[in-house]
Amino acid sequence: MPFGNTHNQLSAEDEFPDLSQHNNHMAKFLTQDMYKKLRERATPNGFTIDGVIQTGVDNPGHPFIMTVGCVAGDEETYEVFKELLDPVIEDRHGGYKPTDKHKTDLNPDNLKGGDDLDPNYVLSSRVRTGRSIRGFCLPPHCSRGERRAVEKLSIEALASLSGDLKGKYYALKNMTDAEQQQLIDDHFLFDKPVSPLLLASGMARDWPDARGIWHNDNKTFLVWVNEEDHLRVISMQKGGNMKEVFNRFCTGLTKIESLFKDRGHAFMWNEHLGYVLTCPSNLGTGLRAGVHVKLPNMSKHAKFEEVLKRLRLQKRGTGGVDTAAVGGVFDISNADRLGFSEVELVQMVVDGIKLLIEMEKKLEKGQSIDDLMPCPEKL
Amino acid sequence: MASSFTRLISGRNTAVLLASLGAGTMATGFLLSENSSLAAEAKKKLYPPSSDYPDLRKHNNCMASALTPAIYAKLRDKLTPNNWTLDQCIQTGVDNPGHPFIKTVGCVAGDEESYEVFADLFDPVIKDRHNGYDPRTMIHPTDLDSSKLTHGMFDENYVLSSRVRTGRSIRGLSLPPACSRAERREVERVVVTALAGLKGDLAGRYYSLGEMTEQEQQQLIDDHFLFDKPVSPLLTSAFMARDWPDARGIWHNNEKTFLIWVNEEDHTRVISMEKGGNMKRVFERFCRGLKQVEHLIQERGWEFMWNEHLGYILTCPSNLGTGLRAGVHVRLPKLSKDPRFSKILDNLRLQKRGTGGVDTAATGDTFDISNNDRLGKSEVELVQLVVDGVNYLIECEKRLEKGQDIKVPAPIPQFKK
Repeated sequence: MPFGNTHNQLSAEDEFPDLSQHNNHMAKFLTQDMYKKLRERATPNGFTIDGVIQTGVDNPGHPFIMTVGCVAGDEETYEVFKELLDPVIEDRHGGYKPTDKHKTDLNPDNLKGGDDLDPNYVLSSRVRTGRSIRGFCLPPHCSRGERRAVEKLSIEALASLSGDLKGKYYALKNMTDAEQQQLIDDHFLFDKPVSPLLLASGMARDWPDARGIWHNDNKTFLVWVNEEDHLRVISMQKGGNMKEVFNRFCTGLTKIESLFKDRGHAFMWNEHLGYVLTCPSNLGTGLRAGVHVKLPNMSKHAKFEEVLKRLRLQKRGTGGVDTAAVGGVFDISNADRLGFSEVELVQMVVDGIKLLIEMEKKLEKGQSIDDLMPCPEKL
Repeated sequence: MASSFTRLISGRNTAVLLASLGAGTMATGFLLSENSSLAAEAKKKLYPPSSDYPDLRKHNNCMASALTPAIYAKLRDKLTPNNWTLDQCIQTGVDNPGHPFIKTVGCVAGDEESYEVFADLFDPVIKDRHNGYDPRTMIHPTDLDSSKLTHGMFDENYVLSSRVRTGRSIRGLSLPPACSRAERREVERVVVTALAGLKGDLAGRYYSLGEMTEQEQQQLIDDHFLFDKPVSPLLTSAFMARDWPDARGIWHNNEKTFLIWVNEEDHTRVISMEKGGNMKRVFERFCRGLKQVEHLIQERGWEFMWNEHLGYILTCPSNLGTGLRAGVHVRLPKLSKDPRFSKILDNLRLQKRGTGGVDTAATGDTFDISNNDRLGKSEVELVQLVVDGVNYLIECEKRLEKGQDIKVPAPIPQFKK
């Protein structure tokens, strides 16, 4: 939230939120003593602990789904409020310790295979991540001036892309009806968030000011500006050539990064947290590589969930997060973000999808999949 | 204690601009100190007010009509004693462009001082919303002497229920957009303690939103007393739904004729109501209840936010002055179909709503009819205006029933000289 009133003379006891009904990572770790300590601080941009936790206070969560319940207002949040964020990160990212180092690898040549996922099953392939521009506050805390500065920089950088990455920017507040309809048909358009998880953190302020969508002429590389992060970068295409998708992803990202550097701006990154994004769940690579894949038999199998778990994959409906699958078609992607490199995560997806398709084929023929079961999840 | 709390300077104005340092290093946060003002100055230079000025070209609300780049530049870096800023006042109006037919207010106060610190915005907004009322020069009359009300008994063949509501804020505590959890809990404590002192026909009970049983909840729903977490983006954009349902609740007397909402859109909303047409009794209870609650909080060193220009201070500028809406549910099957109905209401300074309250449509021929105005006329004047107006409407209805013609009354003047 864009204000901090934790530094009044009322006591920490009186200010401490009631988290008795709550099930999220923030509520799991925030104690009154921790709160008392953290409310004495602010980041250099004036972001306070109340700003960090507001979304988690307002959204108690669900008994089955553990949401994160806290956000960063700027890069420094992760340092200033580390007493809370370190355990949240450790819990969310499979035991990632405050002393661990995160490896970044955006060299697509390191990916083995991935160009031949069976198109009879794999309908589309996609890789997304986010990037934050160092020196600007993040969506929960940024001012209109900062958000516009991020947009301006992004437009300039993206305008310099060439070849198969050449494209065009559509500002949300200026697009024509025709442009809007086209973007909807292409499944590119994002709209004002409705999720209370996002609204409660202040991310939807001033909508649609300084928000927009850029995509290349080929419609295979897409950048969202100022939605849930400064930038969301997406490479996608129909069919199963994940290798090509990842190539374009890495090339595009590297190019964009150097274009920003030319203009004196770096991405937020450090060797412990990798790329820094608004939600702690997206730290590290911020990467979700996934496919839309037809698994009508596999998805009804009793061991489906277990297989996914062992492969370190997750399933979603084809509408994205929090949607249900339609017609046996699932969105399958990596579950991890931090502690594995980009190449490692995409490799997990490529290898995992290959295996799932093999299993699907076996089930089609009425055969057992027991001998194909992957090893229990390595920790 | 009733005095306003002092705050250490914090908030968005303590800013170090790492981009200008260019180092890309992660500075750790620091304990609040005067050093932060240097950083704030640096950030102000890099982001002049013009870079932050909202895009209001598609907007239709009082804030968008009144705000100019010059006003914004003058006020952007000001803080109220509670560290509330102009950007926070106007966020709801920026996020909700409004409707071509309905002009919303588009700004809220975070505390009592907002109306003064940001007077350059709030004064024209108040003028726009309240028929030209000028807070700099005009005095608002407060009058809660219900004995002055005449003809306050309606024909119950037409009037189904009568109701008067207002709001009250506790001086020294921030308003719902800005309050911290501790402040909100303090409001609850102050109000609930006071209400526990009410006796006789006003004796009652408090139901905390977070702690009520399913049964109690159902009863409150059946009585039409329960309020729920706001869904209107006008309210959620103004930060009023934070920490829901912490420190929110409903108090009502045992007779279910006097009801108080705690920490919904204001510190308190006070409602007197009953079935039937005895507006006189509703208003009498309203005034008596309000005075008793005021007395009970004063005993403990608290008071209501009030001043002679703005009357009672509430979160939304539309509710300044009396904050009073006196209304009835009334059947007007013939009159409501008469083409002169709207004009008659306008001239009587009344508004119609559906029986579900604001932004609902009427069902059948029953309407919620209430006063338009809040500021510049006293409580007694406004309730009298509703009494006289509704009596006139009923007369019209009766005449139409008999096949007689009706007259559009002359418009009632705005403010007393």
